[in-house]
Amino acid sequence: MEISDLWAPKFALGKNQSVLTAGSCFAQHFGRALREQGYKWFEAEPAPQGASEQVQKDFNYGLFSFRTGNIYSTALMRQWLEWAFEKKTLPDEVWEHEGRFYDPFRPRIEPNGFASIAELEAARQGTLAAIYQGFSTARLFVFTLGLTEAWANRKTGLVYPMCPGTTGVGEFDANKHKFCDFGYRDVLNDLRRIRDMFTWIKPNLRMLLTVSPVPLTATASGQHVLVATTHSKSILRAAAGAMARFPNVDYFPSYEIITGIPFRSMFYDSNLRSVTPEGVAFVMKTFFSAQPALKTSDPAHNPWLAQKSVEAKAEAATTEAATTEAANETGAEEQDDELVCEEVMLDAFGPAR
Amino acid sequence: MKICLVGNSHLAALKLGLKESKLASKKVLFWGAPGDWFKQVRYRNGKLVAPPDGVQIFRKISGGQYDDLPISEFDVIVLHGIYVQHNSVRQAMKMTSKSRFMSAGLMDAALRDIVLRTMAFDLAKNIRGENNVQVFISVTPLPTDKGLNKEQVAPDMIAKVEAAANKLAKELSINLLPQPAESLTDDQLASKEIYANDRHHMLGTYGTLVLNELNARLVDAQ
Repeated sequence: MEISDLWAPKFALGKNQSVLTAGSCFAQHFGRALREQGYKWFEAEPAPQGASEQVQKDFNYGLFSFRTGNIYSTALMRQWLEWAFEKKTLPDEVWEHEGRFYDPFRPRIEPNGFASIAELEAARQGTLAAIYQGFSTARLFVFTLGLTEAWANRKTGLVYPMCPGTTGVGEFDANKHKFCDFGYRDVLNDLRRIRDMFTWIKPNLRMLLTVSPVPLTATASGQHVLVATTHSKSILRAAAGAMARFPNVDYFPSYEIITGIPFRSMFYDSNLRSVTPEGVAFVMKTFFSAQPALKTSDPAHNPWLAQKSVEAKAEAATTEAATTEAANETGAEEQDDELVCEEVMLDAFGPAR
Repeated sequence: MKICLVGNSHLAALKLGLKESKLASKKVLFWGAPGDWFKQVRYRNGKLVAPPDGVQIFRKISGGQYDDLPISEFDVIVLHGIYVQHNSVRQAMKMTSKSRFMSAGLMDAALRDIVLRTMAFDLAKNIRGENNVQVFISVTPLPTDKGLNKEQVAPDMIAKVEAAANKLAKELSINLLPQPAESLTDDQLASKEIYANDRHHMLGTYGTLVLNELNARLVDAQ
């Protein structure tokens, strides 16, 4: 089936413009696809150089631009930005389990928790610094909205990414924790706050909102999960649409592409929840093919981009030179080894011995 | 007890030091080749397999006995001269140089991974996985003239890499043969006295120290 013109981007995305991604798990596809297509996905909190892919994955690097883990609700996103930008007092709540310490606002970030509270706090500061740097640098922030349901601390009002206790750490206490089902106003207010905050930090940063097409697997609302999903996604979709009226906010229809009736649920896996690779590919194809690259992002048609292109090429050449230098450095050690070792070894093992 | 000393050009120091060592009377065989050939050695079907274009070198080093090395013919395999510490410390230093924050857990996992990916551990793990043979990894000294010196090494990085290697060795039932204490300086780098004129390879006296250390371990094990 061919459906074209599903999206007309409000602003062009050049390959030299840094893009931040955050949000629900569907946001991970955006980051990956941007990288694969040669766009400048900005990893503000990169994994330590040389750490293997497995270690990076285990420690939640490379999934989003920052090491926040999944941010399902707009309230949680707002919270992270308030901590990063407005230096709001950081919560002192820490979940302890078997001598290890877990950050309630990203409990899965370290597979075995932190060794101490000080370490947990230092790691969080690192992430907040990365968020600040990311928003100060990037040109586009892609935020994928996931859920309206969340759990919060009754006393502090702070929102958790998941119900305390569900990951095997933390403990749900009805006196301390409450269920929240954010309504349209709540979500819209959060998104407005998010926009206000980043616009203050970086006036020309733009936000692209999407809604994750991944349905809820469970709900605490008391409704049937099917009903709760529609309720939740409708609120997110409506709020995203309202936000897209701002000149620096756009909406991209990931949700419609996957859930749309014309597509007959063909992009869902057999569990009817996960989006298939074909579905993700179709979403991303829609995203990239709509980019008016040749009209506005082609340096040949844009003097500013032409200059940036020259700068980017120079930067690439520098990077390549540095990489070659690093490779030569290693190679030099090995070559050096070779230059002398054959002689040394054959001498030791030669007939005279 | 049949011992096979396996490695690259650093085997020369062991060969030169064997006569003076406490292993002189034991049945010791050498098998290896200089760096680029040795880097192509793989473990396959119970054997350490030499690269086709370097077979004659491996045969020569083993006194004409082996192209490929059948592990089951030996009681002890010692992997010597393959950088574990040196490359790992360099990599670990690179890893920590730009990252904002690394938790102790991440550092442990990353170092474990770095050490596990070294050729020495890769070979040793494969050998141990399929053979009832004692495997030793004899660490190569941390040279003072190859980009690692007191100023450049984070004070605790060598110790951290060593701890990761020891932990992993224990987990995989591999024996780590540390650099003989006599050859270490106060900052845990190799003392200049053990180097040959090329300032890269070690003298026979160092080989003797390593083999004596190995002998002590084997005696302890018995």
